[in-house]
Amino acid sequence: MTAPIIRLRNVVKTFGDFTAVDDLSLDIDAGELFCLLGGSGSGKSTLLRMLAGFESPDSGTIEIDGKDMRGVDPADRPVNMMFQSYALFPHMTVAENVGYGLRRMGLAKAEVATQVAEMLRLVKLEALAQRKPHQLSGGQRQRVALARALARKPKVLLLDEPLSALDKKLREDTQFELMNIFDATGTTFIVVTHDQEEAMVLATRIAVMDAGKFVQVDTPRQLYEFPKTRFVADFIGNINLLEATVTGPGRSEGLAALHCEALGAVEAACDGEVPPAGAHVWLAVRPEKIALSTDTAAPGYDAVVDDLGYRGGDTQYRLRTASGAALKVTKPNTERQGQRPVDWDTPVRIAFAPEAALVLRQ
Amino acid sequence: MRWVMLILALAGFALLYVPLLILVIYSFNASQLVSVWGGWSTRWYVELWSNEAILDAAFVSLQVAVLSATIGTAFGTLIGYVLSRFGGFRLRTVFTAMATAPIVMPEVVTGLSLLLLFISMEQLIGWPAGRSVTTIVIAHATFGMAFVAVVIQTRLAGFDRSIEEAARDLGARQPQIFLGITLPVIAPALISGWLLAFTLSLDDLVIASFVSGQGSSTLPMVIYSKVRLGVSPDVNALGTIVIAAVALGLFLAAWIMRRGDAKRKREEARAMAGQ
Ligand SMILES: Nc1ncnc2c1ncn2[C@@H]1O[C@H](COP(=O)(O)OP(=O)(O)OP(=O)(O)O)[C@@H](O)[C@H]1O
Ligand SMILES: [Mg+2]
Repeated sequence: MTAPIIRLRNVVKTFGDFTAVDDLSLDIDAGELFCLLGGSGSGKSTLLRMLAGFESPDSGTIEIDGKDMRGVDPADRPVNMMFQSYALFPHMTVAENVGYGLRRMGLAKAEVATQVAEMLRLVKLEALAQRKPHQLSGGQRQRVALARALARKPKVLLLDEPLSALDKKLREDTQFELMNIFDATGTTFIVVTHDQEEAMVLATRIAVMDAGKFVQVDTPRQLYEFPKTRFVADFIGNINLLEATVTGPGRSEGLAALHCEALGAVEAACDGEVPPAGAHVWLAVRPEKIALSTDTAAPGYDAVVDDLGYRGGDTQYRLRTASGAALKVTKPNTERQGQRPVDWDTPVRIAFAPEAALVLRQ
Repeated sequence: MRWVMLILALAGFALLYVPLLILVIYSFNASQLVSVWGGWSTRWYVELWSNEAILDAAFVSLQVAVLSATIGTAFGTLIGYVLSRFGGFRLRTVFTAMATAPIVMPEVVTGLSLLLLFISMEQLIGWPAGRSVTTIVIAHATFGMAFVAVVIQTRLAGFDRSIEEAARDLGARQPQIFLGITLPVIAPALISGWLLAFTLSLDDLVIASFVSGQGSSTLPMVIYSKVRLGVSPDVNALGTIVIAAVALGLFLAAWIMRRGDAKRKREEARAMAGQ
């Protein structure tokens, strides 16, 4: 087992009397593509800037590659940063931008040229080496910024919202390109984003941040299927959260029997121990894990279609249960033609496997 | 309503430029008498060309303007940079205000205080010896510096600081960042600051009068002393030349600031369209 490339211990950063980063501890292993995900103002950029050395923590330690970074200038850290605004040097050509960090290392001219050419090939910008930044499109600038940050072969690459300035279509293509580059370089990437889909696509692990703290650090799959709190469940993807009370253990191991205001008696899976009877919990179930049937004799619970949104790939239904609670259900549109199966105000039956639903205590 | 505003604006412009226009026209007056039109002629320009005193003064003025603008720009840039970058030190507001004080200070006060400074310095350390081109250069550099500091500070306020951070992240130290990144990016502001200081120096009469000495009269000083003896037509010719020089300086300053912008916008639009 190798030592983690990044080790945070009880890192705190305050601005005046505002705590931007609140007692964070974390290990990141070499070769991870780690995402910091959180809403605006949750402290993602502040944490990244502390890793780069532009801010210093009030307390706690930051180790990079086994060395304490206290008092180490950004210029001397084995990390490089790709800025959200790209921060390209406007008076230099693409090649000069990419070579800037190499020249600071005192490399010979020919060596710099070779490495710059290699970087430009990596990001597919060979043809534009002599352009100035303002002669490039947004996507091209993004790639120059990436090449420049990678040129010094940092141990860790820090990326602050690397794709946020691109439009949606380009962003999706660029996500995959970024992953290819990640695979090609073998560098550890730490990506800040507030786009949960982007984090899911990119990351090997995600830290969900809120108010300067990590709410949950897990793989994308774990975060989606086993959120630990309502905040994470709600933040990652779509989910139905229904208040419920535990009535006892379920019919099989790891299940709890609940009474749910919206549906009645239900069973759902617990992450860990089954809470004691009478405990106040939330029933969490993803919209795509709920089966929808127009056969009113089918097993499950009664509901009525309140509203529906056709989104091409799938349709989102907003249902009202017998008790009046709202519920979201999505169904993929697997057939091109044929009848729209469920319409407004149609009475339906909904059902889900107990294992597909989750009991959340907080 | 629009008509009224238009007419008022035109009246304002007229007030500014009609006197200048009259001066320019009269500089081509053939008559000896300033107020009598005697047909077109360029004789006053020819006469100027052979007037030693005026040529000397023009040379002094030019010399002072170039030197003081250069010194003022160097110091003004550093002041502007420090005030906008090394933020958060105590008394920063005081320093900002102090750096710009020479702009609003009455020139008589500035001139007099500088004169006192030069006299006491001469008594204490023997330099500068007497009043000369050197003392005018120093005096003009002080207020040129104040103007440049303001120009640079304004430019740096709208400056994307992350490019300086990027340079630091890529291994550059403070002096390398300043010389290799910040300075080239703000170069247009630097040039227009220099031109501003240059023009102001050419313009100044009051401060120069205080700190100049034997054989170091500037052009405005010579014009002023000539006018006091009665306006002669060659002063009009001289005035016209000064107007042309100042107009050229201001035009250049504005053009340098805008040229880069316009070109950049065009190329940017092309790059975005081609994406
Ligand atoms: N230099 C600073 N001085 C004062 N407050 C700051 C400073 N930098 C950040 N903050 C505050 O710290 C909090 C966290 O900021 P940070 O930039 O880390 O958020 P973020 O998670 O990156 O948000 P966003 O998604 O909007 O970029 C914010 O409330 C911000 O106002
Ligand atoms: Mg941020």
